[in-house]
Amino acid sequence: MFDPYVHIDEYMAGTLAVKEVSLFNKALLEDAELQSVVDNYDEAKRLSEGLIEIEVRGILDSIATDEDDFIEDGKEKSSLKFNYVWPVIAIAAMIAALIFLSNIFSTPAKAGDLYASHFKVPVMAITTKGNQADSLVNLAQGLFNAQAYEESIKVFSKIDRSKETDLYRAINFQVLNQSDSALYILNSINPQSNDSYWYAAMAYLKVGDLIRVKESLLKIDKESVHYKNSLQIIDQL
Amino acid sequence: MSDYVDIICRIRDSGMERKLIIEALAKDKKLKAKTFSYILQNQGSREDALSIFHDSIIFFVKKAFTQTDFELSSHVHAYLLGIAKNMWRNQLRKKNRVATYELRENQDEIEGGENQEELWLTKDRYEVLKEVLSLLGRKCKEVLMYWASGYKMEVIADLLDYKTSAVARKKKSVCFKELTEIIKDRPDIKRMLQ
Repeated sequence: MFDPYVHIDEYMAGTLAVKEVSLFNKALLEDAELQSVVDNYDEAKRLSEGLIEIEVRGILDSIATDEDDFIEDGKEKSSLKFNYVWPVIAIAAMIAALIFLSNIFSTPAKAGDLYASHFKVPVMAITTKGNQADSLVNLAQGLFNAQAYEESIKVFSKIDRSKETDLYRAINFQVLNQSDSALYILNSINPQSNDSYWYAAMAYLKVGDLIRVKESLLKIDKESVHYKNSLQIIDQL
Repeated sequence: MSDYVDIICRIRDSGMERKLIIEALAKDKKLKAKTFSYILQNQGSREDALSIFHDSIIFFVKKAFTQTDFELSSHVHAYLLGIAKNMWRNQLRKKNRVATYELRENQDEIEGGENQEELWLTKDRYEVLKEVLSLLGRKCKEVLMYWASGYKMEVIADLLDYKTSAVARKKKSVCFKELTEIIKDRPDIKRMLQ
């Protein structure tokens, strides 16, 4: 059976056989997703070509920089250090003292502590209708509730996006400490809900963005189960 | 030195080996010292030096990964230093800060081939794309990376442990569809990639 998705490169390159081109064109008329893949083909290919650079830069970023101990021409760079190290140390000490003093006088609750005491993983309970696509939702739900988060996130990536699944997918990312991904999904949920505001606040707590924590919590309705906790957190910020 | 045996094959054949090589290059104090020394002696800061050092590693790994006929004609240190020097010369030229003849070097000494080493991935682009690509699974990124770099499906199946090239091709098509969905939802990314 002709699978147009498998032949898309040949179609875009103009190397597909005439008979298959007509099959592809027919599929294009009937399949909006295929049309979307064709529409975004060039950009997706360009991004794929950049994946190797992204991978290498990611590895380099994860390596702690230790340029202070590098040796130039076989000699320690002591003279260079002498010129600027002491002012830097003095400034750093002043900043540390200011932070210490502000902690003493304002006693703000640490974002990490608030996150640890408030972030709870809910039970995923999406009712499905028994369609073929629902089997993936059920699988993701089973894995999520069994706390097999590495596995469930892979299944989530194969499910068509919806408000309900996106919320749990974001929570799944958050459990795996991938707050950026969680926030990307939560902020794209439309329409937003008390749950999406609450879990966005949790993700912002995790990354220490206290301004956005407050912004998200202030959007939660009085009727919400999260309202009381959101007031507690705002009070402690 | 043993870190760099079969370096080109290792970069191409396995993500784990590639990671080990990148880490070895990044932590190679001799190579780092040579690169830093050159940049600092030629109007650069330590920040410039680290940036060029990293960019030269990215450029080298990308070239080894994507150009199947690529071979090192000199020691990897000489090659990487040549890339770093060319990158720095290009940056200075763009900033119009110096005529290239003022640089403290002999042009003949520069190895690493071409003069126009440039990376597609600027730091700004990286920050945005890294976030977007976190939505894509590791296997998907691997298969798309090999496909986009021109590897044949038979080779991809072999390298990534798919039973047949047809399975690899199917996996690529599913992952590519996922990637287009991500791009579709992010017009800012689409514009960046146009």
